[in-house]
Amino acid sequence: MTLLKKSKTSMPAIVAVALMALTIVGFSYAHWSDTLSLEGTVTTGKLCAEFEKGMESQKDPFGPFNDWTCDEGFGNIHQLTKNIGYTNITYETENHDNCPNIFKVDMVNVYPSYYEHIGFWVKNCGTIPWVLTKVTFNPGSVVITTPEYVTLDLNGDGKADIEIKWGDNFGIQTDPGKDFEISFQIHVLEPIPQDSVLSFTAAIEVINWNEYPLPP
Amino acid sequence: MKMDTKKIAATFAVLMLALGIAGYAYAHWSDTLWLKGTVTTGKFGLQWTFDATLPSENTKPVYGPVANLTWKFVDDANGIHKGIVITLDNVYPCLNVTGHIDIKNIGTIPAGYVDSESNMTVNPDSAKEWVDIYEATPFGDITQIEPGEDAGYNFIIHFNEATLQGATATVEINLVFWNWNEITP
Repeated sequence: MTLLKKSKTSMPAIVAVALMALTIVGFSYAHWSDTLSLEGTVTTGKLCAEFEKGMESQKDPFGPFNDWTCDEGFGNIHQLTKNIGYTNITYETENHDNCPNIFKVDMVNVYPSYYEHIGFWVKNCGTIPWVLTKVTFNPGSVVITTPEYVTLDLNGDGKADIEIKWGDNFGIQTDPGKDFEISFQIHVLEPIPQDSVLSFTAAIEVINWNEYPLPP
Repeated sequence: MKMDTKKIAATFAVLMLALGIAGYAYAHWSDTLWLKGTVTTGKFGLQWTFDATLPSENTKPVYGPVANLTWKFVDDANGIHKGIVITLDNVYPCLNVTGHIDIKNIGTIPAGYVDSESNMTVNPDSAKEWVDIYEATPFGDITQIEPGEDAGYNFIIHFNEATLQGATATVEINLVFWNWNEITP
């Protein structure tokens, strides 16, 4: 009896709580809604430059070809009557998606006044147009952004051992799949030591076309 | 307190500016192609060989040789003959010394002969009056020596009538070669 009485007292309270809860829940379900979704994917392009094998040209490759010479400053370029030195050109690929990114120039048995003219082709192997922006020569960290004449001290004795005259194509836009030729002249100077192996590099940098020219 | 706020604002502005510049600089994509060059230079080197004789009449049947001839090579650090010192003792008028110089190109670059005349010194200078040097094969006749090849020169040293008694003279001749392409024909 006591239990029945207690149940009679609790029932309204339970109902009230249930109604309140349903009201709250009901309110949240009560409105209509619609949702628009924006789903985005960004597929970035690829900026890629590569050397084109087989397109190179030079004056004095290995073989029965007489050497060339010139005066300091690239004057009086002319062919000699002997075949003493030569220049090998090879390509290498190093961490570059199988695109050749190293152009090797090996000058063999050369001597003061030896001269070589080399041309090579660079192709846009990516999907973004790019612009040739600068070339950095080492040793010496010599940076050029226009066709220029540079000298390099290869053995650190304070005297220039070779001089290089770099061709143009700075600032030219190259679209994907397109290519262009770069050429340079190289001349061995008097102070170069004999019976030596000396190295130099030129880093040829291209950037996405819309960022050129870079801020000073 | 107001000053601190200004400093913070200024610092923030500078920081934003720096980040902006850095952000711009890093914004572009780039790719780098490498040109790697090596220059292997040739070797330029010449080495002498030498021979000389006194005339047979210089040796008397009983007395033996009157004048004496000796020579020695002057070597560089690698043991290559770079010079020759010739010594003639007890010479006399009308003595003829005939000699042969052989110069071998031990390098990899052709050698072109430049000159010797301007590189000859006689000490004392007055000895030029009594020491005559004739180039039987003039040096200038052989203009170039290819790598591995050699060129020979014949010469005669003659002591003329003006030769002084009890005198000593030294003669130094430098044969000058350059890499062949530097010599204007």
